[in-house]
Amino acid sequence: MKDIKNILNILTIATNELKSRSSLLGASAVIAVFPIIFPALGKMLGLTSDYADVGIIAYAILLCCGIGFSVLAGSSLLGTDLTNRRMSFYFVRPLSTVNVFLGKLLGAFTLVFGSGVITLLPSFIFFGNSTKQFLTLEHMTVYGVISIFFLGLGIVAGIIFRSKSYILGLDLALIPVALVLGGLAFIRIIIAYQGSYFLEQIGLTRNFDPFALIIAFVGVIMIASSGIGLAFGRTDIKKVHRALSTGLWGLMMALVLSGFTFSQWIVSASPKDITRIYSGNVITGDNWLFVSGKAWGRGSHIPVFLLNFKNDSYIRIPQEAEVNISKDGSRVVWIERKGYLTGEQQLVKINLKDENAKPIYTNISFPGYVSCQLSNDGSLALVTREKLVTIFDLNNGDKELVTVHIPSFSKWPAKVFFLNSDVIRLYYRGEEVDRVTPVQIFELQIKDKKLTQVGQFSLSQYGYYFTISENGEKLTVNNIVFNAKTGEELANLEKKPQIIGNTDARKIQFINNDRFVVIDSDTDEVTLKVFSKDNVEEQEISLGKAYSAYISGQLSDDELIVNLYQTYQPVNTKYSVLSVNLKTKAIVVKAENLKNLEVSPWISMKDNQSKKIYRVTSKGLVKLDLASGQEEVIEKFSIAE
Amino acid sequence: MIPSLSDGSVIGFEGLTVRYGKKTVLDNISFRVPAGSVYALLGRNGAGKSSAVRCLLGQQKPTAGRITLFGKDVWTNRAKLMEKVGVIPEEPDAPSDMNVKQIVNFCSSLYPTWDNRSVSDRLTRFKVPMNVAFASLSKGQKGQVALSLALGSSPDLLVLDDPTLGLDVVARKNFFEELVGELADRGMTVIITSHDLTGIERIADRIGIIKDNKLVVDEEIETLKSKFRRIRYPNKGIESAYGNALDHLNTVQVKVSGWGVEAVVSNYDELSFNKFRNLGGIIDAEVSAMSLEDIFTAIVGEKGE
Repeated sequence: MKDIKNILNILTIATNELKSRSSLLGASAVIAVFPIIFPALGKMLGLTSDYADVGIIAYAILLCCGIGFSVLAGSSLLGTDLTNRRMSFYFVRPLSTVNVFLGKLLGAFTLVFGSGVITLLPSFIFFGNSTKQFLTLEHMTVYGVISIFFLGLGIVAGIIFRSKSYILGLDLALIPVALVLGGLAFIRIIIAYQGSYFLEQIGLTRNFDPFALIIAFVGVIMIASSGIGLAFGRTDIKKVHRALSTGLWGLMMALVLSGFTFSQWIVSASPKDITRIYSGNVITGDNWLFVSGKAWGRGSHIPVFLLNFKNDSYIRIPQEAEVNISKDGSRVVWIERKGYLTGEQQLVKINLKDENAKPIYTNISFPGYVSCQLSNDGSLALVTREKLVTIFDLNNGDKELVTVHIPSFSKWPAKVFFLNSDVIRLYYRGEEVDRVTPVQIFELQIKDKKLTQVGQFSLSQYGYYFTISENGEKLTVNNIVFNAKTGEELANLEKKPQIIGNTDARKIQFINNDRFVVIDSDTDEVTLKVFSKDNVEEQEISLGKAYSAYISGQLSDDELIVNLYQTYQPVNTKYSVLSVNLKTKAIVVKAENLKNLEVSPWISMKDNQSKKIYRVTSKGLVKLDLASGQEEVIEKFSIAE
Repeated sequence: MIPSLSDGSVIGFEGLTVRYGKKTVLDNISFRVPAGSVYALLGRNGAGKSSAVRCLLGQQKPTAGRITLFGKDVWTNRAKLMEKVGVIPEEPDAPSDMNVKQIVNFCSSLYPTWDNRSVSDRLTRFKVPMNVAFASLSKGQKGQVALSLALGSSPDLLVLDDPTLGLDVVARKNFFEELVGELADRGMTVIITSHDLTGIERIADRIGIIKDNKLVVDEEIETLKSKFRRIRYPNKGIESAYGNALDHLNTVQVKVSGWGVEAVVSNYDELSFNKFRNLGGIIDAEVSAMSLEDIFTAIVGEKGE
């Protein structure tokens, strides 16, 4: 009974609030006509406008109204009644402060969101298709967050600017302090979640941007502070202001502290927190595991680690970093943002052979985005930025060896390849003419500091996926095999297999002795077609019914290790590891029901994988020697299966 | 020591202190208002009456001390206690867009003891238009609406904060007549602050006067009036000796003019006065009773000679 009475009281106050500001609803009805007449108006004025634009105009107006009406409704919600000493009308009645506050707040929200509905309604009725695309949860979330924030801002401003209290000076002084502290508190978490869905694992399964969530939090804090102000100040605006400010800055500081704590907790995930592996690989030498995955309670933040098996230590790598590991397993490098407030990028290296391997922040830095690649032995770092290529000697004081300007149309290389420790081959695209794209082939002699164009080839397809043989002799782009140095076309696989994405590029894989294998999985069956050194199909081996296959290594010249996938489930698919003898065509199952440890595309660990495979189990990291068939638990990195 | 409310009091001020920054407005004020009585809290402008009323209505938290209504702390139990309280504020106000009918409807849903008929009857008698926005009413009409609303819930306690402020003489008279009628009918407890001391004198049972932040008087009105007297006698050049003699009667004000001396005493008794009169043979000394207004002026005004 008491609850019903409270609800009725709240509704009565809300209705009064709504009535007293009903003119705003009328205004939104007038504004709502604008998106409909805009295209016609635009045409009259000679502007390029279309009826397809109605939706976006309506949405833009919705956001503007959300801001404007929220500020208007908020600023008069409590401030006006307090200034006019009208608040006592409510406080001399048997109405709790909660009733009064919630009633007024409900009235304001109804007004703001009601005006939103009115603003969109004509556009929706007459141009439904154009408008519907903005009626998604994400778009409405943006509108809701904006409205909450500005309503809170309006309420707070309506009180603090009317109270004529000296505390206003303090409030204004604390705003920049809160912004700076808030920025520092949340910058790490925003970086940690950049480009990903936020906190889906802790209940918020939709696309919530962390920035939007923080804005919403601040809005809620401002609204809550106003409630605190009213509860303690009641009818006296100065006392309301004092209590509001105490609540506001107290809660803000709590938010900042929570932000610091939460950010710290998020980015402090350890390998033990990993519940699901996204990528993982044992680095050559068996001492280090490169692993990334979902960590407990961290939502979609994917921490990345280098885990040392020998001493159980680990090194945390920034999530956003593009990690390069040398093929010999001696060095890891990545490019990291140099501080939060600068766009400068810095090269960080780890010497994995060192006893106490740790990140070393080099003096190699660049003002904008750069891409990095390591030589096979990890001694050289190749950094590419707009038409510039620089080689650094990481073994000798990170000295710059050479920088060359690439005379090409494209700013970024299509492919970079360390031929050996002195020669680098670079592939740059030219300008497309009549749907034909030339690709220039350059070789950079590091010692001589000499750049030479050694070849060129042309492509007439959109989308290029490069694969280069280990010795750098051959190159496949989509279905065509080229001489990797001159660009001479060696073979055209006549559009088989169909390559429509980067993953499909694996359908042509080089094996020893300049041969290559085409993995044909266009039917239900997976077939390996082995091509000779002279690019002629030599043999065909059926692996039976499966979805796809991938050559993960070679035990000997004629014995391939093949991962066979039964279904297309990129993350959790289980696969078998087979050895396929090219001479005898014998197929031996080495392991079954393995979980996919999808190797990150920027890590190449074929040498290592050719001999062993690793599985992360609840017992630990299990190593299977493919040659001997022996299994061994090599360390304690485990994960619940 | 504050007595408990088992004495039948409806209101208990217990060491009420209100400060705004460093300025003390009310300093340790304690008094009780018995059930069924009409208590007038008086003081000059800025004496702290409105602060006391705000604290009494649970709208302001005292700096120290507390106020109880019906035995409960009003700051923490305001909403529940307001069911039993009718209030006429200093400047009656309501949401500007609501008309009188809407205000009555709004209030009717809030009180368990709401008497809609009596409210309608009273407003009709006052000739207050029901469909006019509250903001458009005259000051007098606003006061009449406030009185109707305050009495509409048949309250046990009526709080009147300078209800006749800004009203003309006729409106003030009508207001007090209406109030007297209600009090006769219901016998509810009333606490009132007002500068209209003639009106107060008609209805008050007990008087409290605030001076210099403190409660200097808390008396039954009849007792108060019986203690205060104005004494006049001719000036024969010996006024100081006589003045000292008057000290026994507790002189609160002395005025000396060409024709003689006029003193106000606050502890008058006939025996002492006769002794004074016989002292030195001032047989033409006169004594007269005082109105509440005169008593108030004597107490809160500057002590003159």
